[in-house]
Amino acid sequence: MGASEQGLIGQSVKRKEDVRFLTGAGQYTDDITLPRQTYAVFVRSPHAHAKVRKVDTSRAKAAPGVVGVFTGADLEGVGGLPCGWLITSLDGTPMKEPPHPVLAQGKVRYVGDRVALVVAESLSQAKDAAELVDVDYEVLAAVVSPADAIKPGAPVVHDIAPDNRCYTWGLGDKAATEAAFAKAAHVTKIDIVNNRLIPNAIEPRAANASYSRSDDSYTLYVANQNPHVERLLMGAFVLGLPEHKLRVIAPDVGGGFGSKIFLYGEETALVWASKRVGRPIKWTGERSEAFLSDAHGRDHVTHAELALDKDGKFLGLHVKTIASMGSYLSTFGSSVPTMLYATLLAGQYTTPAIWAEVIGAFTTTSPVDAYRGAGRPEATYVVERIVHQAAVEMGIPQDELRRRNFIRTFPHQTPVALTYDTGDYDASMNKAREIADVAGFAARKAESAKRGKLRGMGYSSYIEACGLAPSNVAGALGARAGLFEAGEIRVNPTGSVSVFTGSHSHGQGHETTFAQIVAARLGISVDAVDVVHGDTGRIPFGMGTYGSRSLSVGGSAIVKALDKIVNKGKKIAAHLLEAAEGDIEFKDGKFTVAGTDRSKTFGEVALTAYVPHNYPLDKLEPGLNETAFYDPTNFTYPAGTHICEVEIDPDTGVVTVAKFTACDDFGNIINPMIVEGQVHGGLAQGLGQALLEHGVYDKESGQLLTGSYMDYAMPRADDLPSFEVATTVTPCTHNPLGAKGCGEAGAIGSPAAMMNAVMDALAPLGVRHLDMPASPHRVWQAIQSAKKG
Amino acid sequence: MLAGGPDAVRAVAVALPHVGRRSIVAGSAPATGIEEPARRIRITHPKEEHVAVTLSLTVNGKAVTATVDPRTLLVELIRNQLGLTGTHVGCDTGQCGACTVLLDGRAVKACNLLAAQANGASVTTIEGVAAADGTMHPMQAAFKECHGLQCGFCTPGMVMSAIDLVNRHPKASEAAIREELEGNLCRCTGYHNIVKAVQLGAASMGK
Repeated sequence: MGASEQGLIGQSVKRKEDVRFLTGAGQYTDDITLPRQTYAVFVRSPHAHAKVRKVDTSRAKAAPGVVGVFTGADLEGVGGLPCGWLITSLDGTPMKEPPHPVLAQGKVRYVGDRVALVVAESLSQAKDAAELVDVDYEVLAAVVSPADAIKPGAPVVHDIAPDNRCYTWGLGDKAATEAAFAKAAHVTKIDIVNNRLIPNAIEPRAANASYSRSDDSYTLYVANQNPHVERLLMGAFVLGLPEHKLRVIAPDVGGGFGSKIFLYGEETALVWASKRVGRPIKWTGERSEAFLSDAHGRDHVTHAELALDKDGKFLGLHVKTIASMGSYLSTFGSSVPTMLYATLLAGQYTTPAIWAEVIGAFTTTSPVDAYRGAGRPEATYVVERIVHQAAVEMGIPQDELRRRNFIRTFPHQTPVALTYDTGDYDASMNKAREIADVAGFAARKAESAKRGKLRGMGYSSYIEACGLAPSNVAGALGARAGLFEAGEIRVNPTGSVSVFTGSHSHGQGHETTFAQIVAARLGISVDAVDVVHGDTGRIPFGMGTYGSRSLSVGGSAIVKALDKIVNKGKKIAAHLLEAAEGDIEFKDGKFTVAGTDRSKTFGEVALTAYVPHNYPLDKLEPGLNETAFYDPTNFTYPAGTHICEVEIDPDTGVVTVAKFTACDDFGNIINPMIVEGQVHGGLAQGLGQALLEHGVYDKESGQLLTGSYMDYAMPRADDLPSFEVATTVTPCTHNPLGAKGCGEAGAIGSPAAMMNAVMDALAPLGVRHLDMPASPHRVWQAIQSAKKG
Repeated sequence: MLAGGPDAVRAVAVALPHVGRRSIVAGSAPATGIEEPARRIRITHPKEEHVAVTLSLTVNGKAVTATVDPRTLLVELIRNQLGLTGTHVGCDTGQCGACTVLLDGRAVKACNLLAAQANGASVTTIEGVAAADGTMHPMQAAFKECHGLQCGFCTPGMVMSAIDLVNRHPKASEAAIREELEGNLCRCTGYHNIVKAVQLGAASMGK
């Protein structure tokens, strides 16, 4: 492996983690079985909303193999699950924060709500015993749609929020926006629904908790994206355990997409109960439990209006959104439709005035929280759908209307709180159009028409705010946590390197990308670098992986630690070479006295640090081990243009994604192969939302109708095309890697591109409105309705 | 406990006639030392006595004898008793394909078969496809080469399906590969690089 910086950065190094995954040697939470293991099953509410009159566990406790049965009554005194972001309403009042109990206390509020925990010698015995827990429910009315929840007379989910409103929040300048509309030559209005999604990482959530009497400590294995956050929330806020007595290990994790960020009641109950039963307890969610109890995503109802002048210049944007919180506030649920949503409503455009108002509504459904993109796909969908519609109404080509409004000077302060540091939106638009062969579209459309098919093209020029986040800015906006990242470089005596990162890899390939950064800087082989993550017992306090932050924030922490390593290495080398420290240069793994051929290799310096016989012990500590914490000074702003081409069969309503092009600007790229893979996966989830996926609850009963893979349409291999992906580069201006993040872009940009393509294809038939997903049923109905006029 | 999807699967599987069931050996005492209520197997054991079945099969080329509760699924035998945790459970209902193994050379979903149905059969799991010296199977190597995996959870099932696919259709087109992979869900890759990996794996296997 070429080890020079030039050779490694930007190279598609094959992944170090692949061999274990490909040979069945991965270690996921359910793969770990501890001595004297017991197994847990949760008794869950079959009702969307009910009073719990009585829970009788006597029959279950007497069942064969049962080790313990616990209900909400046993957990009295245990805290509720906390929400990590305080949102303040327009009237200055804090959001309503109803208790979020680990096991139900007096009431259940969604189908799947946890009522009891059954622990037994075997999983079968736990399942059998769970069926013997007798729960007496008084069923109450359900309310599943956020728009219905805020109507007068709706069933009240929490007594402390009698109107089901968690908050009514706003961002921007209302007066300036109204003034902009007053002078508009044209106003485009749109009503859209952002469909509820169910994350569906293929590894279900799982946990295995144990208690050690020898040092009064707990160990939790859990499928999680941020073990230190999990430990902090569970220990400090819920169970009252000091952090040094709780070790959280997130081993190999089979996908997260946001759903494994959060502190859930299941693992919390397991940790609590592990001391009571005195044995390790394992719980692995079944898929039906995942559907019911993982935090869902999206679920917005929005009305938006865009004011334009006669030339198509955007003057103002007004957005009103009702967002579902679900039944309880999940860990970051409150921030997703506010701070991560309304702040992105400027998109790539110079729109001078924006006013956004968001109502967070409680419903009797699974909690709603961050899912890949988290707020930013919803914002992009609003902006790019209304821009598409405005272009249609004003007769301006789609690319042209966007270009007339692109931001071209940086830094750019938006009217919704963000300062974009850099970007080149024309570049990504131009490259996307070239790759998508926009020029050939008319011919392809004509060819489709010959076959009786409708062809359409849609654009989405998205932006996202990633690299969460400057801690002080986030704190001022209500975050209850810091958002830095930590990295430690431990150079071993013989020159190999262990990297300890607070970022967590659950598919992103950090073990390779981070190793490339370290190997390139130190001039060693990628194989000499191991990346350790996911264990609070081994890594420095880190904030974990979400919001496309791992490279820009976690990678930057590693770079800072590397700086310290190199600086110390120069001091050691200066001593060995009897030169001034300022004369030492480090390049290609060698410390050299500038202008001479006198040098020491990285390995020699490392060995000297640990065998300090000839060493400046009076001035320098032995060892070569450095830790750094990096707190970003701004968000990063990945952006790009996606172009989708669809073909629709008007007889059946079937939409086929004929061609999908994504041109993204992620700043500097370390491993293009991994970046492309991240884009592919994001696109599949975005197109899944637009084409197939929809979490549906029955309006009357509150039952989840899409509770299995037979009902919830996951994208399969033959639902998707091969993708055309490309990048342009404007390096991020404020982190040492110049990196912006790539994990969410695909899911953010693609839904609007696809739906705009569908609307373009259906426009000749007079279809004016269609919500996601564009299923055959919906498309066919829209065509029939349009025919009737 | 809600739903009980897997229980439903068990019930269906028990009711299905299958060659493997003929050789079920019923005993009268539980071999695990753990008492199991027997009501789910009423169909075959009306007296509700506790039963265990002893199976002989070949797993990754090695002869294996195992005594299991009759309701034990093949995937449970593989993961829990044989400790081969490379085979994963992603949905319990036969739709995600994470548990795919080869049964006498054909890809099957191990969560949809009783362990007893594999009696006398040869089972290959992801741990058994590499060469004896550890060299990865061409399909495994192709997945690494093409970045056909991310989190790795669907990967073992995907590789097993891909091997079976190529054995049956060595020259499958992209469209055919996509259709054949319908029974295996991946949430990470968008399938783009999996399709490329299967194409490369097919070419390598043909050499």
